[in-house]
Amino acid sequence: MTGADPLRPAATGFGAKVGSFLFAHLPPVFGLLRWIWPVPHFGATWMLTRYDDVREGFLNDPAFMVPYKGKLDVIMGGVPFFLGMADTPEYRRDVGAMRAIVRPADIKDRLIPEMNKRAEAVVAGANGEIEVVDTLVRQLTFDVLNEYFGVFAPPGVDLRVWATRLFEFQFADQSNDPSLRKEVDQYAPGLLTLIDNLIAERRQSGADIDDVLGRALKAQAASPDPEAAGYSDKQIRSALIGFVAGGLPQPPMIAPQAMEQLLRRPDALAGAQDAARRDDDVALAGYVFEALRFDPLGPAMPRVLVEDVTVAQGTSRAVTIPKGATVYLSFMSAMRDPRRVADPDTFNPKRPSSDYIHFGMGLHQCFGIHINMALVPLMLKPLLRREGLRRKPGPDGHLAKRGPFADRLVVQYRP
Amino acid sequence: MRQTVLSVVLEVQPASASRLREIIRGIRKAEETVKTDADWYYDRLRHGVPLLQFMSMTVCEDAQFDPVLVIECNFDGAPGPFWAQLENLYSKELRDMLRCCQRPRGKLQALFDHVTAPESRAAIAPFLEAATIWPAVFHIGNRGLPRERSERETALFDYCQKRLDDEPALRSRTATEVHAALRTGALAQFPWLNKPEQPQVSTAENIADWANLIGFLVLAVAVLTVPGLLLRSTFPSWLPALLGILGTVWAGFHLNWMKDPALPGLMGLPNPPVIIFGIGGVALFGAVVSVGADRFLHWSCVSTVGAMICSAGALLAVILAWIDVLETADPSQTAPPLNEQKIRDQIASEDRITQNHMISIVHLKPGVLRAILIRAGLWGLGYFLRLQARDGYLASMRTIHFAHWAFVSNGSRLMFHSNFDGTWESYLDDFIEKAHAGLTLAWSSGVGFPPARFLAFEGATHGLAFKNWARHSMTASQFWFSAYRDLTVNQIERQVLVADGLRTPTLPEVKAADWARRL
Amino acid sequence: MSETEVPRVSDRWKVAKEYAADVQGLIASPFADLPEAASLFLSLPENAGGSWLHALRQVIAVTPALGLTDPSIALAFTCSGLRQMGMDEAALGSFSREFREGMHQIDRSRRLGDDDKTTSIPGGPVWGGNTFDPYGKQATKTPVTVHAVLLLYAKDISSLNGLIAKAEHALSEAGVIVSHRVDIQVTEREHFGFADGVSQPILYGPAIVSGPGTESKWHRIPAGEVIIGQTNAHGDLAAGPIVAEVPEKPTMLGVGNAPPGYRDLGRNGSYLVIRELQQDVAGFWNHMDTEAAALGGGLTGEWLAERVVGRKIDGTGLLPETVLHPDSSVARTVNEFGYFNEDKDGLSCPLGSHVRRSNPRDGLARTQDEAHALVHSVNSHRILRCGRKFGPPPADPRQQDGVARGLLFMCLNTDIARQFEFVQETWLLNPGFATQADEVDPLMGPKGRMSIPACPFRHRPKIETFVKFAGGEYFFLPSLSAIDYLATL
Ligand code: HEM
Ligand code: HEM
Repeated sequence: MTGADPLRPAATGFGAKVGSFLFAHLPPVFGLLRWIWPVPHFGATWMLTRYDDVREGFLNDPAFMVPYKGKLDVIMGGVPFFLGMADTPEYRRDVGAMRAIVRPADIKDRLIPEMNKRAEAVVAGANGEIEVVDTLVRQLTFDVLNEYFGVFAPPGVDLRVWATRLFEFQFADQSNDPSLRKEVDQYAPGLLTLIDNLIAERRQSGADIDDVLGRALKAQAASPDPEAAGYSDKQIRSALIGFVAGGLPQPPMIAPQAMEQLLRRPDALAGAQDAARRDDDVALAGYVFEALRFDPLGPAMPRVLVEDVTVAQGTSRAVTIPKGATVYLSFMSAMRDPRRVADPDTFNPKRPSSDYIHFGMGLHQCFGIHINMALVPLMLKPLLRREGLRRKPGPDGHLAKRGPFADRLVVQYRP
Repeated sequence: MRQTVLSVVLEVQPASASRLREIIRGIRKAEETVKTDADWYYDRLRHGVPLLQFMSMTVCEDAQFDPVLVIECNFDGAPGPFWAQLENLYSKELRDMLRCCQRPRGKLQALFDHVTAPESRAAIAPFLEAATIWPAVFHIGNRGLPRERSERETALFDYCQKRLDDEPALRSRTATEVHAALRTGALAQFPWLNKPEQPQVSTAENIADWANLIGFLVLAVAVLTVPGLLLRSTFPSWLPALLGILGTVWAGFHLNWMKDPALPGLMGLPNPPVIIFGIGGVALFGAVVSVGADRFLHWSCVSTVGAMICSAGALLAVILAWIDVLETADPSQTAPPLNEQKIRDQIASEDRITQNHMISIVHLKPGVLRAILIRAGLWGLGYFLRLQARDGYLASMRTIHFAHWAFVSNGSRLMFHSNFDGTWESYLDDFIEKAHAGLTLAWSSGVGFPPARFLAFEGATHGLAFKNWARHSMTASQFWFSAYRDLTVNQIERQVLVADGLRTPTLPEVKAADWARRL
Repeated sequence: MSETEVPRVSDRWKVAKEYAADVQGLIASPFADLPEAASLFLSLPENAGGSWLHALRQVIAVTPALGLTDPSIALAFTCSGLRQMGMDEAALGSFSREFREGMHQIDRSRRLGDDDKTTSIPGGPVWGGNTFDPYGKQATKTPVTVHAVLLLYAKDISSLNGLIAKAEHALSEAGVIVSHRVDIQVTEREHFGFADGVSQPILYGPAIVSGPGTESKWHRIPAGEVIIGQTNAHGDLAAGPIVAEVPEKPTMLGVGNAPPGYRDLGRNGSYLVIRELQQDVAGFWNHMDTEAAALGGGLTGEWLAERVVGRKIDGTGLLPETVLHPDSSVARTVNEFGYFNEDKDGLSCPLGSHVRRSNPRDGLARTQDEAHALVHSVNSHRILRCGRKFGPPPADPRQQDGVARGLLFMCLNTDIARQFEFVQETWLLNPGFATQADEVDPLMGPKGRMSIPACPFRHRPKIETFVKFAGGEYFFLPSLSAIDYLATL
């Protein structure tokens, strides 16, 4: 089911080449920085590279403000979404409202069985060769989670394209590319209307469907003041857009990256396959997220300081960063910091949770963390269970990236 | 594979001591109620801090000092990752605990303020790292065996036991065949058997251990001989010789040992009086050589060496006599005030799993000589143990997982921690009956310790007095964790042998029979 | 099975004259020549004082260690008994902690394995001292409270019965009731059928006159391990209780080792440990038969039982054939042996057998040098056993007859923690004893596996529990002069 390409054409030219080369060789650069220049900065742009400092940046949310609000407003048409908020009553209201209807029990009761079923079907149907990024992971993510959210696209709309563009605009568009903005100006209102329509339709049809949208509308009906409870139409719409555009494009990035890292390590791959075959999902998750530590979602998360902050106060590297500075919290670097992570260059599928910052931490730790931790390994599981799993010979068999996005990885197995 | 033994000791605001205890007990309670594995407590900690082997948290009270918070940690690898793992689990509790402590002065202050400020979210690990107190001497029973490896080998051991129980047919095979049969099955389940393990003591560590001990000995010899060298280089040869002889004579006059029944020898050495005579003889010999070589032969090199020998002998004799003088006059606490409730708390906390824990803090006896000797003694003992006690045995005891001594309160108190197999009584009896010399050496500088002779003799052999003294210096820990509640030091080493056997593709019959005996 | 001659160790030493008149006869001899005996566990009335001892003395006197007399009598007190008699708290506080707290103190009962329901009789132990414990959170209460024990030994059943009648009469006159009674017989063979009383420590010291054949390297222990006031194995004087001197009240107690202002109450006394252990003989033997059969190779129930106990049924040591060779002396094969040179790996006598656990001798050593030192260390943890069996011997050891029988385990020592409790906790019930993992004493521990070293590899039968704890307590066995003092309370 390939329609328009969810990823924009790769940038070309010398600059792009240098960029992607650097991007691929960040770990040693970070290693050096952690050692000799742990808090590097260029003008008003700063970076934290040590585990302790990155952690402090994430946890100190009052001073390290998320910078997402501006672009979120573009996407959400000005209705605030909690990702862009400080730790305010509104933030707690909106997050609380969603926590109440995106329930932990759903993971075990419906998402895991559903994912297992569909993933197996996709792999079974692929007959010995499969492209991991789009055909497997993106499709599974959008199918399973959109059904859970209650977000369905009308014919002619490819949510994968819309969501991925909006995601790129929000998180990966440091240079504010005008051509991307043009697409966003088309897809953002499109998604708004799409969800508005879904809400209206659902309300009209009176259908009692137990998905996130259905639960939200029920909660809305049950509450005297839906806005105060976090369930006004606009709040529901923002949350759903946030989930779809902010969340769904991510598994297709990280799951193939994890697969690529496993393919590079025969022992680890064998271990992951063994765990998959033994149905030991805990062990399997250990392999997948450890693999991801070597190529995580991205190098860093941005923050903007709302006050002067002295990072690593009381230590010899203490440094004061001025108000207004943009600070990148390099969780990629933190997860390889030997000062806090034991043997960071060793692949160890049994690490404690403290070794991972895949989902951020503190106030803005990923809303979908538990869903992702459960589902991402399962997307790869049926593939890992197959005998004779290997890269497809040729360039397709190695993970290609387009900018920050995983683009293509083809593997083969005994059908 | 490196292992680390350390503790963090912080002074507590007296009024907050009980709150602090509550916080620590709270951690314990949470660990004991949150269960994920069917039969296991402390799951969160066990999984969250896989590096950890033993840990205790204790608020220790003392009539002369403000209470102190002691966090004792024994873990695999370097401190950084360990603290990160611990902080990740207990960041709120640790911060609250630090808030009950006194604001340190000096270098630690800024870090402390940063970590304990209201609403602070700063990492705690850097402070704990900076506040770490390193042991003066430590002992690790299963040296170089990380917990992760012991856990693997436990599973392998259980697997072997089960196969032997379930397959009586194996009984009619030779040991070599039994080994082969177990290995074939084990390889499938334990693929790591095919990979080499890190050596328990790496070459680098081995070299460092030897270098340390040799360096220590050289330094000790230098300290004893340098006075002779200096004197000889500025004065005529008779002066160092005379001083040496005078010192030795002084020492001879002050020794009290003649009035006592002879002390037994130790570790193959003759008894102290013989040693002291010998040392006096060495001093005299040195004096004669020094003067003789200078006056009659005019060999100034030999004369200098003689002066150095004389200096060493005389200094040693003086030190021993001085110790004897001190020890004869030492008061000891024959009946320490035992707080019955405190002891009951200790006893109630003991003997719940295979291992037990003790923490004791004692005051140190005053005096320059003692201050120097205890430090030098523990320092040397530490290097000695690193080489000597690698197979789990400390003298003939093989019950200690992790133990250490450290100076606290600016060097005025000595803290002892031990995580050992079996009961407290049996642990102390072991010391009393088998390893009293080392123990006396380490502890005889403690105020109230049963009378010791020449630092290492008697002392701990006074069984009941020693047990009472030890009990009264102890505190029941509010929190104590063992990562493996049913493994003894012995069993861990036994599992290593079983696993090592299975790593080998085939064993000849004699070796296989030896291996099978471990099962 | 050939009957081996077993020399009685306790006949080989005597208490020296100066002490013998004051030391209770039970310390010097288990009265093996008086086969019939009864243990009367006594409950005293409130504020009993010491007068009941006067009344008792009118009819029977406690036997001193002067030599064999028929009948013989021993008397000992629990902590709650002494308190009931009006001993003041300061004096009580000078007794050892174990005695003061009692066998059922909650932490102690955990450590002795008595909190394990599977090794106690259904409903839990029946009797104990019910010692008042100001610090214990929830001291376990037994239905029957025991304040003292009167042990009566006689040549035959009729003189024993006469003795009991006399004693009971005098006691009831004084308001003392026999709240629990166990009739006991000398145990050349305990109920499972094994020779018992084979291995005993041999005392030495100034209070002891050693007879011939007491130079044993394996069993000599200083008298202070059994007699309070003598030098013990740690080189200290064995500690005992003291009482404050009261000027206007003359006392028969000597100064002994007491500090000025005090009299020595403990001197020449001892602590007596009693545990009533029921034995399910038919269960034991049937289980041995089944487990042995399951091991295959034609192994019999006897073979397995001997490994569980660690001796042959006739009392001979389970030693390698080379040692059991005809020209080895009987004494050697019976008890003058170690394990390090003979049987380091336990191929003859399993490492975890009852006998090897209860006295490891030199078996825990790593090197020959250590072996010697370890005997010395192990001998700091010996007990002088003087238990007897109760209940009739089974007609057929494999036939369940529903009759209660067992061992009234008794032993004397001066440091209960370092001796009896150490044996029970650190050796018998220690799951990590001697390189073992997760195994306890197969005879009296909770059920579990037992490794029996063999070629090419160990057997590991599952052994159930056939010995159950029915009651017990720690007693103070005073000297005769101390009994006189107690009578003045
Ligand atoms: C598996 C792939 C995913 C990864 C690696 C990931 C990672 C992250 C990270 C690092 C953040 C923190 C952003 C920051 O601190 O600046 C975040 C936040 C968030 N994620 Fe995810 N995410 C994933 C998938 C999803 C999905 C599927 C959803 C949809 C349910 C989702 C919903 C959110 C939301 C709503 C936030 C904002 C939370 C807040 O502001 O409190 N994420 N995610
Ligand atoms: C019903 C329970 C018990 C039975 C049937 C039993 C049986 C035996 C037997 C048959 C022997 C070997 C013969 C001998 O040396 O006398 C023995 C020895 C011994 N038992 Fe027990 N016993 C029991 C309980 C206990 C208890 C509770 C303890 C102590 C806590 C104990 C301590 C000893 C000791 C110290 C030896 C001597 C070992 C030596 O010196 O070699 N026994 N027992």
